[in-house]
Amino acid sequence: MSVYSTTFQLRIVAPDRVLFEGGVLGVRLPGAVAPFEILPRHAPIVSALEPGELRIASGDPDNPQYRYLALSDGVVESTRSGTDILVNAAENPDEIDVERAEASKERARRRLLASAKEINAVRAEASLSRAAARLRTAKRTESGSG
Amino acid sequence: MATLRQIRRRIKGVQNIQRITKAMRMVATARLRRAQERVLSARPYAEALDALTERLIKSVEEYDHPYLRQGESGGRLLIAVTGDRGLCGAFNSVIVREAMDLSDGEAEIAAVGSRGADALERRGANVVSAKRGFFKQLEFENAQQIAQEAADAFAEERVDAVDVVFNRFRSALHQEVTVKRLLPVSQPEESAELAPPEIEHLYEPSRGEVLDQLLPKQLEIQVWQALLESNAAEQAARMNAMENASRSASDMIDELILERNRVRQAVITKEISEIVGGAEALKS
Repeated sequence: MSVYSTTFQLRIVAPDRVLFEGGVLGVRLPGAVAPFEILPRHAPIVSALEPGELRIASGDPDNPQYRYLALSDGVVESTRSGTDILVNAAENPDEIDVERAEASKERARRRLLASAKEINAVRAEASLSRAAARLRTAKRTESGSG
Repeated sequence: MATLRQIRRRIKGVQNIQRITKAMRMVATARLRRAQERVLSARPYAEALDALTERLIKSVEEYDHPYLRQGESGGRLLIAVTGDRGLCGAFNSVIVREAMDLSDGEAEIAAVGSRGADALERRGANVVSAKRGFFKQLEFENAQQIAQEAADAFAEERVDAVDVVFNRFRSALHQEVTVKRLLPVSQPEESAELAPPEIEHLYEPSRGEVLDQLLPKQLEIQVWQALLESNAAEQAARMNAMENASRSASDMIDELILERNRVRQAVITKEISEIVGGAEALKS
């Protein structure tokens, strides 16, 4: 028995484009408090999102198709009429430049170790978690599924 | 009076200029279409964000954020958005003039676009930062960078207000100089019309913390929209300017051709009368 049943409207918007729009079975999100999944008829919620991985489930409820996106931070608003996810940037697994992500992860890590000023540490930390999220999502395509 | 050869050379020259202005017009038209699409595709995000932020600010009690600070020193930062290139009519100069008027020689100016940056520096404005070459390939990161600098100036209490001055894209024929207040974030007035939502939302981590995240984003988006609008307006302005230039070139060519024919006719007439005169002299 699957957790999925009916579908609801999901929209993912970045500053420069609408990334996704359509009916889905569920969407798993990297919430600021904890990761969680929104299913149809979820209680209205507004939640901040951390850099991480988003999983969209669609298709047959018993044998759902999963799609992954790497998110930088954002915010989700779910109401009865549908769910809106506002993200600064999001990438499909096949768009991710693994080498670049590796490089920025390494750079952020070094900066984190070296930096004395608090503000730089915050920025480096954010950059580190963005890079880590990208790499995790990129691996999804290599291994084929989730 | 110009000689025939001089006139012919001028016709050639004007024709060459016209060829260039026509090509530039076509390029601007193509770019305008793309720029317009970008303005439109930025709207869903901005609208969703504005709606959410406004609702949150209204519903949250005792919220304080650096962006809401109401300072009284009167220090001001103007973000003046122009283009990186010329040949677009009054597009750049109207922004420069507006920025000079508003700043009164005192306000700090963050110039975006090398045209504006150069002109403002020349006129002795207090240009604290100049961004050049952003419009070659406009990315959201550019807006984030500008927003960050403005936010820093505001947070450090160097200035008490941040405005953006840019050309708003109204239509392909019409651009409008617009001044928009970015900081402090205006607090919506209490209004009764906003009915309480039927079910209270859950907020994670909390309303305040969600707002903390939304306000900087909103600032970035407002800057981003100003850049996109200005970009579209610039292409539109250039398209019109080049259209006018091509038309003027056509008029000029027509006049020169008329002049050339007149001169040529005069030369022919002169030659005939000389031949006739010569023949008459031989006869007698």
